[in-house]
Amino acid sequence: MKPKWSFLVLVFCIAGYALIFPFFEKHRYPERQVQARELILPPHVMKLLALEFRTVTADFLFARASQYYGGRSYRPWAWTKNDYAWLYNNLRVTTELDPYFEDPYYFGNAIFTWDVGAVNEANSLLEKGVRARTWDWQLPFYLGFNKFYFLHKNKEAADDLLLASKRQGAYDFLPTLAARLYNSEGRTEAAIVFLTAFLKNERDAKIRGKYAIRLEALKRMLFIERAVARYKNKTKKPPRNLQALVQSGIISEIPEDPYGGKFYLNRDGSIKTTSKLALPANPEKK
Amino acid sequence: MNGILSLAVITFKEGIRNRALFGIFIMALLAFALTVIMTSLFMRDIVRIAASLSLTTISFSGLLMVIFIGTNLLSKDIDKRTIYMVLSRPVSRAEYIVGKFLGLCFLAAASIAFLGIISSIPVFITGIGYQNSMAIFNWNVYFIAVLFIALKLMLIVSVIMFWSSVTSTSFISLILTIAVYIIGSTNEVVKGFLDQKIEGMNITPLMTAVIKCVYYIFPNLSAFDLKLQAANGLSLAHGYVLWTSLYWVLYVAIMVSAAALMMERREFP
Repeated sequence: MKPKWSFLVLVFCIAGYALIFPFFEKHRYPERQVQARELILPPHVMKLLALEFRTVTADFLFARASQYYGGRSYRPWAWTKNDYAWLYNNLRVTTELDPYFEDPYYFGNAIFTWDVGAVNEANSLLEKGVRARTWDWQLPFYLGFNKFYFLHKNKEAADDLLLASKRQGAYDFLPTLAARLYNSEGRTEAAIVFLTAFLKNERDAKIRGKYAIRLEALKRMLFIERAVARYKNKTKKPPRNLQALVQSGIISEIPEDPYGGKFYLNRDGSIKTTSKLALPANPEKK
Repeated sequence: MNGILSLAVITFKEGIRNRALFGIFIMALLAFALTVIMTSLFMRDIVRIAASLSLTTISFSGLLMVIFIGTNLLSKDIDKRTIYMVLSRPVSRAEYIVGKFLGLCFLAAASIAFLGIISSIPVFITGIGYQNSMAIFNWNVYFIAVLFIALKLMLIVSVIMFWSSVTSTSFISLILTIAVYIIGSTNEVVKGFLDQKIEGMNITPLMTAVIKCVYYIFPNLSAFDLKLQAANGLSLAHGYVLWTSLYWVLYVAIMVSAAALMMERREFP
């Protein structure tokens, strides 16, 4: 073949390639969407397939999980149970491949607690991390908070805090906080202490923002709790609702819930909010 | 002895001149540069990521180097019949094998030393750029991991020597070496399954015996993989380096002497 001809054939092939690519891509796209989520093999199979590249496979799996989450976190209502199950499975395999890797525990805890309400899943990841990362005081600290705040298991939470306090670099106030949990005192105050510590420890601007809103909501709840206590002292009976606090002149107005909900007085006398301390989701699409 | 050394030096020089080596080095250097960018995808354990990616790059580049350049260098002598010229000199076949082995080991050691030093740059840079109080990192363990990558590659070189001495073409010895590498990298995990007795996994007594045999016969390459320890700054158990090195010495010695034995009995057309 003469050079002129081969050049023409090459140009023709490149043009053809460019022409068919969108159709090829169109057919690959749905396939890739399925693959992106479902290609997580059981940990023992992954260990075999990864050969000597276990740490880098763990890095890759984690990067994929965080990118998948990050890419869709701007519309959290579009998340389904399957998405979270996939994420949990991904983090579980990642931590089997490298149980010393800090990011999956930290990321799993941030997502599965407040956003999803799957505290047991977050805790099972954290427990694995506490066992492997024997020098890390933050993981038992997070675990303690989850048990205290979400599961109301104060004694177990206090045990975790004591474990954290024995590890190097832990906050000095952990034993005092643990003692407070053992005695089941001041629930909201304890939660504020935890969240202030989380905020102090956090560098990611997005997560800092989340903690800041949560902390503000808890501070407002504590403000109302204290007003209720003053009301009881004054009238020797509990208020019927929060409006009673305003009417009796104890507070000038009921603070707003930063999550957009409304604070109310629960039957057991505790302060709750209609937002359940989570940003509003779109119920139609859920 | 002089014959062995001069053969080793010739093999080393031949390897260094190989253009594929430059390609592998360029790929490794690009990967080291990418490491710093890749760490931005992660949240806290940044130095761990940099160390994990750097060690993986060293190991992968080293594997490409010994498997492709190693099999090529050795089998070329047999394929192109240049071995006749070497063996017509006062060099025994065993000396030829030992000389070739040492030359390839020099090549692996020099390349890994070079890559090991360069790889510490991205790890060092990320360490300065991101301080994480919960991360521990130990340069000693990092460089022991680099050393163990070099040992692993030399062990693979000894396997290449063995296969090249029994097979007639470089392609077959390449395939067999890759098979040994895959078995060697997984046999410890498989034996772990056997010891743990995973639920729903029924292993017959025959299979158990086969797995045990494979574990003892094939090299345990997982023992030379210290990426997990180096990336996470974990200290090594007392005596680990000593016993693993002894295992390495004996395994390599068995492979090279078996290769020498096979070579002595081999008939060239």
